[in-house]
Amino acid sequence: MTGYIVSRLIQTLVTIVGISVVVFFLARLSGDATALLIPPEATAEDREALKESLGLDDPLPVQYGIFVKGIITGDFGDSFRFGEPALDVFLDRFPNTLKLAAASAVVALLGGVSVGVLGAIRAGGFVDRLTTVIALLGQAIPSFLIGIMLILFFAVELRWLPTSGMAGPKTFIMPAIASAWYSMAALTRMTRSSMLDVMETDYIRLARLKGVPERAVIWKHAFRNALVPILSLFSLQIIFFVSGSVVIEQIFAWPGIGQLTIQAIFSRDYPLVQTIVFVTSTFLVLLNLGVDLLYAVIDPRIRLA
Amino acid sequence: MPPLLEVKNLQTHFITRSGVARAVDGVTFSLERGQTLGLVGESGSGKSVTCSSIVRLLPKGSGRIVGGEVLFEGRNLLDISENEMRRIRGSQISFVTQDPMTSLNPVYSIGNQMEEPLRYHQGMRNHGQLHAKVVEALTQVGIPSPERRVKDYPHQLSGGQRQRVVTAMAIECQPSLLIADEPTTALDVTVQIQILRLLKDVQKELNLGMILVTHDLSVIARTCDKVAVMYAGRIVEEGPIDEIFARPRHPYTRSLMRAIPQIGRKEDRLYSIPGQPPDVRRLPQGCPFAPRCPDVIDRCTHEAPTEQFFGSNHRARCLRAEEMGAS
Ligand SMILES: Nc1ncnc2c1ncn2[C@@H]1O[C@H](COP(=O)(O)OP(=O)(O)OP(=O)(O)O)[C@@H](O)[C@H]1O
Ligand SMILES: [Mg+2]
Repeated sequence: MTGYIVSRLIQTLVTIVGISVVVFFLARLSGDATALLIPPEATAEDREALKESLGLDDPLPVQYGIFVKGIITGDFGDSFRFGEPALDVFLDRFPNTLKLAAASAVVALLGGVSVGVLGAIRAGGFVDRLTTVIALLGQAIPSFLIGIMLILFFAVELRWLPTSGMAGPKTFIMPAIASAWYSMAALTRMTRSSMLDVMETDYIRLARLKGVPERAVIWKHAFRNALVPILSLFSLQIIFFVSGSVVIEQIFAWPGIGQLTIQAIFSRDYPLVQTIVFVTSTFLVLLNLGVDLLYAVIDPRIRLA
Repeated sequence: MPPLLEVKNLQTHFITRSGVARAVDGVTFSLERGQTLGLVGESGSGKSVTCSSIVRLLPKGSGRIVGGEVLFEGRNLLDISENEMRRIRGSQISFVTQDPMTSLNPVYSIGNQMEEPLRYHQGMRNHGQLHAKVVEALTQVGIPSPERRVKDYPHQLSGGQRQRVVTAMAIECQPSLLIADEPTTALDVTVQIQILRLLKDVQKELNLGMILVTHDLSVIARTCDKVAVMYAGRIVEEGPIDEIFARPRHPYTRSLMRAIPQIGRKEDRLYSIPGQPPDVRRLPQGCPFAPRCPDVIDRCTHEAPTEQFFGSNHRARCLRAEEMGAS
């Protein structure tokens, strides 16, 4: 157990260092920031002065050192565009993205798991066939289309829900469903097949032979065994919920990091881009670590290995 | 008093794409408390399906009990509700399954899994009480330091130990019938003997009726009171073991006996029955063993043999059963 945790912690740390390197150099590769920050008629001296004031004339390793020191002290520099600390600009928006991501994750997980389990225990039945078709459709239709269809139907046609923006629980419904849709379809299929595999095993048969009620056979004996592949898929999807929100946020005018990222990239706002990418990636890596530790809780063979 | 178990003309069919498989096709036998019945026959003869049918746990979808009666202490199990049936499983009728490596749930501790029959059948909730009961059951099946084993997970135990755990779980609620479907096939030879001895011990101690399924007639000879030989979904011969071993009436039983390896026998090659068991989806007219039978006569290929009785409890399904006993 300790060995498993320690090795996962080390892996996580290495990954975070890797992210910092990649983030730093990618931002530098994307072009000259000063080109956008000053008017075209500025002189070469003006340009140099600006570079110096932004710390862009130092050698790259020095710049990287400053960047790392900033990460540790929580100082990511000021956003070129907003003139405020980049971290503050980011943290202003990030919770909105997280709230939406969490809502989508809950929708996808609850929906995918319950429909998947239902399909597995009624394999071949009507409900199973129907959900298989829906799941296939879910994976074939892009999420922005789902979003637009939802808006047309529930906001424009029926006027049940607000079209866009973020204000109160109602506004979460459509964007959460739109961004959960694809993942939910994938989770449904994964849950169904994983449960079907487990239901065929000898230990499920023995549980029934022992007189365990069917409900406990499914949720206690089968589901926990089916959970590891479901969770692996889900942990990949978490990334998708957070970073893939760009499109959904655009459609629903959601005040999250999706829009902010696009703006930051187009204006070559290095500090902000770095902050967004680094903090978001680190957050996701830590979430993944959490999921890996969860495997150990679920499966004693991992815990005790 | 009615016998512990009376199976009458049981028929279990599988509806498959390629036709109806008559996996169990009119099986009849009975068993008293304290008795052990051996069930033998080649692979596919319907032994496991017979056992599963007794507790109505057939593979979902295709398998169906289409006829007969399963009288357990006089009550027909085929008539009761699923919920009543579930309460009998694991409390009055218990199973020891074939492969202990895969029969225990890998994600729950031994203790957790062993508590289940007590929780579900006896409504026991008190942790101390459950723990004490589980430790007692583990001690009974000879698991060393059971206090510690309770917290272990299946992958931390050897195959033999796991089969002991499965056995302990089966007898926790004091059943009256124990069904062991090839309980030792997946184990090492030395462990096989230990597990058979264990089963025999608990059977005596609890005065259980036991059905022991095996491919191995020599196991039957050592552990059973009577034996039923199955072929193509039917019992072709049944009787007390000394009777059957002394005067086998069915050519199939005789062939099985010839196939037992014996020390000091002069044959250089082990005898095996020629040919394949028939496909239960396309049973031939007449006797299903006829195509492989060393004693086949013309009549066998078109006339289905009926059961013939020899004394009160020895029966065989062969047209030539009478002459067979004489030879
Ligand atoms: N799930 C199933 N679907 C279709 N047919 C089945 C199924 N299970 C069993 N059968 C049929 O029932 C017959 C008897 O199977 P059973 O498992 O009872 O044999 P067995 O005597 O236990 O053999 P073994 O010694 O290999 O365990 C098989 O020949 C097969 O045709
Ligand atoms: Mg079998």
